[in-house]
Amino acid sequence: MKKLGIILIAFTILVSGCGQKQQDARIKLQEGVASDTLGSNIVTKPVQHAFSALIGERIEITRAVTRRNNGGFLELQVEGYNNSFNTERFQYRVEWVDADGLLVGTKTTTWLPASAAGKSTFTITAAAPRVEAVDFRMNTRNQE
Amino acid sequence: MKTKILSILVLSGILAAGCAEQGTTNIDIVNDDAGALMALDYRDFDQAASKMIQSMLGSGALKKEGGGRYVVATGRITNDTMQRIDTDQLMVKIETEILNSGQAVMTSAVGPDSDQLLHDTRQLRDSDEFDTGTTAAKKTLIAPDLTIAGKIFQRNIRLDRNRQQVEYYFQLQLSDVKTGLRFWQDEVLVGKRGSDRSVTW
Repeated sequence: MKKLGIILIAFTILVSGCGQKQQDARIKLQEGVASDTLGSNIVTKPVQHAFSALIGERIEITRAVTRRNNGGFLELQVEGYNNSFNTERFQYRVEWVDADGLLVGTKTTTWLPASAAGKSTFTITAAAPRVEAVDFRMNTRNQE
Repeated sequence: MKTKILSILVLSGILAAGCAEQGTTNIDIVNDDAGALMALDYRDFDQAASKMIQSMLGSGALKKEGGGRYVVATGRITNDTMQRIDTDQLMVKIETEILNSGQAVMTSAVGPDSDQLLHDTRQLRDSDEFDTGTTAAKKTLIAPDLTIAGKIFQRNIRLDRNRQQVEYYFQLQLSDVKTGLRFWQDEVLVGKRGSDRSVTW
């Protein structure tokens, strides 16, 4: 019986991610909309969710892009992925830095809420309110 | 005997700790990790102001074609919530960043919160007590190009017997004085769910 459990877990881990057909990466079909995968199937779901929680899967940042907008202000777009099956809620704070590496103090630098649905991409955007800002620093914290 | 004394000491320590008065503490406004409140607090205003500033400046609505700076006046910001709010809690942050952006200047000469002293000091030009060279001449005030107006309102929704949902909407709009055309507008929603016993006024 114990062996069967171990085999089921190992099987789930090994084939996770292989159950879904390749589709357009820009489109995310959530549970209940898309066909069942190992992560959403009623039988295998609890095992995979438990494993995900056990190894502490959460948020990862995949890309950060900056550009100057029409007003001459630095714009930031941070893209990430929520590896967890659960919606992850967190807060972020963006600080702006000038050409000398000094902090540009603005009223926009405050903790702001963000949320990422399970196994989905998310995007955070911010714009510096001063033209002196040439770079950024971003901090995150768990939402209480 | 020793165990008895120790037990009494521990017990009285626990009892005393329970009765200890909570001291006053300053809020760490940079990293405040206290739980959310049903009513609006400074974090909600910070959040709304931050999003509004980024939206307004990011839209390019304040960038004057051909250079120069717009003159912006703050109009009426209506508080349509059940709370007693000074709307400056929102607007001062936005006005500060408009000024610091270098793209526009704010005027204190007109608007619901205009500086009355600007008008009072103009009465001094007829006074014999003042050097006329130091008083403001006529036709020196600059009229605004743009106005900001808006509203903060609240909706209370009962979820079940014990819980309620409170939605706070922050709405702002930037309009051109000469044409009346709206250059920018945005809305920030701050939503809260909690006990029905929490008072939101």
